[in-house]
Amino acid sequence: MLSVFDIFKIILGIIISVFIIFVVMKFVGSYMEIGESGRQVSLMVNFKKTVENVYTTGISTDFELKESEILDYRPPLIETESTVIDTSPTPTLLLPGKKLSVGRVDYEIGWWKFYVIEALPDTKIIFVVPEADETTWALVGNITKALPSTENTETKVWFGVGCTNKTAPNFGWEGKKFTDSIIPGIISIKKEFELCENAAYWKEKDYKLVTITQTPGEEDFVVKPGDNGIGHVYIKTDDGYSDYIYRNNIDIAALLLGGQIFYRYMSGKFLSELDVAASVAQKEYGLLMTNTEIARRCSKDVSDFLAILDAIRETIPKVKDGQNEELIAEFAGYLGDSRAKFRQLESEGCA
Amino acid sequence: MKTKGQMHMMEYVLLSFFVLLIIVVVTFFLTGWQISSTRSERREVEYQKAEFLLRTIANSPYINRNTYKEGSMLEDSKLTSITCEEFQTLYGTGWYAEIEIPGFNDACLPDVYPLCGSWSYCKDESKEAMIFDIPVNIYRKMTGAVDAGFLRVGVYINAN
Repeated sequence: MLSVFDIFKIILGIIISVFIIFVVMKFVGSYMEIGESGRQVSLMVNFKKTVENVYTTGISTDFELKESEILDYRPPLIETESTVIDTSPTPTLLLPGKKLSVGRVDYEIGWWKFYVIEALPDTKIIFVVPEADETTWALVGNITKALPSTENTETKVWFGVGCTNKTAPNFGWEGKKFTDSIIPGIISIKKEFELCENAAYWKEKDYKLVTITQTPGEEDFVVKPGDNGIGHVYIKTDDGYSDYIYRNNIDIAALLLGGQIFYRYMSGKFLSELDVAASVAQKEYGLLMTNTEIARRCSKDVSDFLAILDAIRETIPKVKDGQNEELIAEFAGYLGDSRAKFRQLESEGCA
Repeated sequence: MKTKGQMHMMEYVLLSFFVLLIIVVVTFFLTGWQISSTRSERREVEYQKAEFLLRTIANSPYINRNTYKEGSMLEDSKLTSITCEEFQTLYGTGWYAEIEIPGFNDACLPDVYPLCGSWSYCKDESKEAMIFDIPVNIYRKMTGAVDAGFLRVGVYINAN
């Protein structure tokens, strides 16, 4: 028969055991949460490091980042359950996916270079070109160059052109081969294309259709080229269409990958870095003109160049909202003039 | 008999006490280890930022010679033209950079250019920084000569 003391020992033992188990379980639970948070933070820090490496080297690489890790992405902020990562100062566009190709796209106008990092999963893009003329093909090539070429990565961005017999696109090339061989080949045989009728089918299969035409219809994403390298992009919404004016091919790529949010972010980065570049160039050439030999040889052309830079800097605040087509056309004209004038300065040994 | 019973009880109480004490000590140890691990992660992030800035500035198209695609050929006219605020617009805040050509002490301001060989951006002497440096070339725009120098980048510790 159990004594009182034996009963006391049993009860005390049970109480203490339950207490110990409770404390240990609680601690293990918290520790697992901390461990999981630590893993997520480490993953995002590694992603940022990869983006920075690609930005400085220009060498593309793959990165594994599950789509489910990301709760929200509004560039430059990537939000996960445990942390928020800011990809600044590198201009970065990210499409979440299990495995990403992280590549750098360069925009260059001679006296300035603008680098953009694009981190994309397997992506399939078809250019629908019912009016295949010189302008259209040039635009196809330029938009392709505004997206990463994935020869060096396992994750691929594939390009194609369509449609033939309204259904079948010619598809399956990476960026460099597409622009260097395929497009010239298609141009040389004067192949013609039509609108892709079963766009919903291609969308279901995760293809992104980019329709380039002067007469937009019911397509989801339409680029209507204008003059001077600018034009309109129409994106289908629930209420109709959103109309954006693009200033360069990076604007088109940003709209294609992420709509208005990406467009505004990239536009802001582009214009602020351009302003810095123009300001530095103005001061630099002002310094160089203090040298009598350079001033003697180059003063007229440098003055013209400085005047163009002035015009660019004055127009930047006016084109920030991307609404005024006339001003944007003027701005695009100044960028083109600056490129031409810089080439002239280079050829004369004044750059 | 009573004393023996009390001693038995004390044994149990003491045993329970020591078991709980061990659990508490282990808990504190693991928490302390986690805190120190987090501190080390923070240092790692600052190190990563310094490394990135060093490489980015050395290869920045804003201060490199246009025709030199490989980078690390900084141009003195561009170095003299760019300001701390402009660098911060490009690469954020919380760091400083210096470029020096040994033998040249004069800070490169527009009124002494090109007879100078020292540039400093965003330096705050009162703040502690994690510092890295690498050798770079500096192209003298006026004469076409190339001087060897070094680029030093410091990331302020505990800065934003």
